[in-house]
Amino acid sequence: MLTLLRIPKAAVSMQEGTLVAWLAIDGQFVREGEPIYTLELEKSAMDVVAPASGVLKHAKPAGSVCPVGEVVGEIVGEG
Amino acid sequence: MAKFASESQVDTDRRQLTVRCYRTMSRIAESDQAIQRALSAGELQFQYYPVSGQEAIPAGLEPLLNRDDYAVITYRCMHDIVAKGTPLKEIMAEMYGRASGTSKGKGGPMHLSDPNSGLMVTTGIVGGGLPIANGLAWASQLRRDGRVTMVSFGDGATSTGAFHEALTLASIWRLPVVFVCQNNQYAEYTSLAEYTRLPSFALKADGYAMPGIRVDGNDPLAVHDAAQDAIDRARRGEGPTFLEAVCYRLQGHAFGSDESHMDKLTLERARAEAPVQAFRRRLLAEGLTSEPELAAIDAAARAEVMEAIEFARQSPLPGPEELDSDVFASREDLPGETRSARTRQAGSPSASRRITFSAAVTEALDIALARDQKVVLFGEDVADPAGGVVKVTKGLSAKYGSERVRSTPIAESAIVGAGIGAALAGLRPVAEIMINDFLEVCMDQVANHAAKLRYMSGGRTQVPLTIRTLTAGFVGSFGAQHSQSLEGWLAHTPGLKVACPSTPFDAKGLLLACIEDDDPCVFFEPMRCYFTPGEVPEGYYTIPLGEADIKRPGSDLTIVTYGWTVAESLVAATGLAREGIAAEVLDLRTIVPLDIPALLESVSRTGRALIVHAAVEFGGFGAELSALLNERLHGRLKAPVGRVGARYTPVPFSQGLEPLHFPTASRIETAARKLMEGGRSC
Repeated sequence: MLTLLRIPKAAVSMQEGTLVAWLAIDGQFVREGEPIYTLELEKSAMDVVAPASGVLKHAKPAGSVCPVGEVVGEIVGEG
Repeated sequence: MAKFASESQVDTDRRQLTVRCYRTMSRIAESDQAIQRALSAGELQFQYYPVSGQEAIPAGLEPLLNRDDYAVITYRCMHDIVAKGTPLKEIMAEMYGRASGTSKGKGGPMHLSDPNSGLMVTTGIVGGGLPIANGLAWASQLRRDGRVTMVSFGDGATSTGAFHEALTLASIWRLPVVFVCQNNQYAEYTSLAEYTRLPSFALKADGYAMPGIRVDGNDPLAVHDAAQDAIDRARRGEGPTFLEAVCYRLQGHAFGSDESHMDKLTLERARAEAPVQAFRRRLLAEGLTSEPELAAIDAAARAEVMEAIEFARQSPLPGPEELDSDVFASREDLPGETRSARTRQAGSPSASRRITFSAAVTEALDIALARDQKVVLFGEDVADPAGGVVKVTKGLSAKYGSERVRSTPIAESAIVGAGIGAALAGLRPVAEIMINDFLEVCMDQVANHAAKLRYMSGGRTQVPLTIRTLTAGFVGSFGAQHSQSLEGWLAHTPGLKVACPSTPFDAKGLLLACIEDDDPCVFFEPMRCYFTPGEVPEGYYTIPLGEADIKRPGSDLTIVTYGWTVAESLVAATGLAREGIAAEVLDLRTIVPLDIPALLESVSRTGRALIVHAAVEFGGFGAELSALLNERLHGRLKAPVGRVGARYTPVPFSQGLEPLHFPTASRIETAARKLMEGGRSC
């Protein structure tokens, strides 16, 4: 099962955010609920957690400024 | 032996209750997390208000509430909805905005309702649900059906006026309501200490002479036991209870919100003691269940939620035909030109006689109360001996009983909310808001709730409520806060019908039509017409809403009007006739629904339109009529559409000024003359 990682809308006013850092490396197995990257908004930052368990694949490098909804990676799960 | 057997039965019951609470908490937590996963992945994008930390409260209530007990809840709602028994598939589909959702995707995560499981309203307005809960409970009280209404709200709601009004009414009417305050310690981003000096909200209950109970909201069994007393009390007819369940919100206000307003250490501690996990550990420690049993419950909850999410993903979005369905019971009532000609549903009215507008209103109410047990009448002073501030309801409580004709505290939000709730429960309530200027203090109930509940529920609930209200302009002595004409505000809110009768005959027929209508109607009674007599048939008849009436035929121009300015327009028309100008007076009678075919027919025949209303001209409903005529009849008009409304000032008190403010017959006449000269009306 494939879970796309899109930039979440984390605030009413949010249009875009910066993927500041990946907290799990490309190809790493991540568990649901673990922090996987840090998203910086205008005035705050949040650690986005894995929405599923599986192998994480990066699609955008750290430092990317992305609009809400942009795909920054995926998690390939079992089954 | 018998004693041992019964003790063992008690133990078994307690064990089953415990497991049942845990199962609910597990289903809530899985549902909450599934939506947050979809938000995290960017799959869903909306404001979501997490419920983690509050799972135990509805879990403790769940075993006590029957499916047909009513619930009214607030937008941080996933836990309350899941516990009330709404199918998860429908919940998730609504969160995804899909046609298979509880409200066909038209309500969304803040406005779910599921009457099948007794969930009547989820409101996005803090405090807005409490007055409505009273109405549902009132219906149960009248029917003696033994139902309880549970209304759930956050600690922030205790600061609102609606809270105070609702508890006031529930107390004096001894309504079967349980007010459940989920005190999660934050009103959005503001902590308790920043907005209240009270050590406990349960103390507030004293002010309403009802029991106030404070309980640990992290413990479903504590909630259960406290609520048991409250619910039993309500079912016994002993009135409402205020239950404060203290918990701690384990996340920021909304998904993604920063948590800088929350004390780090307190949050960490609370998370370590998160109620789902804490209750799980306790169950194991007390030997009430086993790890495999709990794991099986969690797995089943997870599977059920995943299946529901998949169902939502696969479901189609609502089609474009859904956009304007469920605004009203019938699409025909939307503004448009497709209204079919309706026939007057005359009963068999017998002899006609001359009675006043006021007497015609009384007669309509009397007939409605006699014809239908579901009709109830209430508002400030309406019961005998007062019988209303202008005696319109005099004698009705004596005739139909004080349960059906009831005076209320001076609490307009409580009045309209009670009307909404009673209407949701299937009654035909007629609420009186004494003067229409007082609608301004309860507009949240009128505009955010009465108007929108049909739509937000995807047509699964309806609010057949009639609000009667006086317009007291141009009768002298009332001044700026008792003399306005606010019908235009209401017409601007989709979902409300607005009747503005001008004669005793129309008043009686339209009021009966409003009471029978399945949508919320606001019925304006102009005091300036109140004591004017007119021909009114005895007995029952109705006038369909949305049918204009030519009060005086003419060929040179159409004066388009409604309410008390119909009489002024007729006087003006008589004056104009002396100069050879034949003015037609078209009385719209209702502005929603609007009889656009009649409007276009008349104005295209005369070629000129003068719009007259008592409301302020600037930004008034006349501007809508003018725009509509220009759009439809451009090129066929002999003069620009004219308007005469009230001047742009608050209504002045002095008789030196009030006649200058309002559209009098002489102002109408002058404007009409200018229009005939081919120029602008004013």
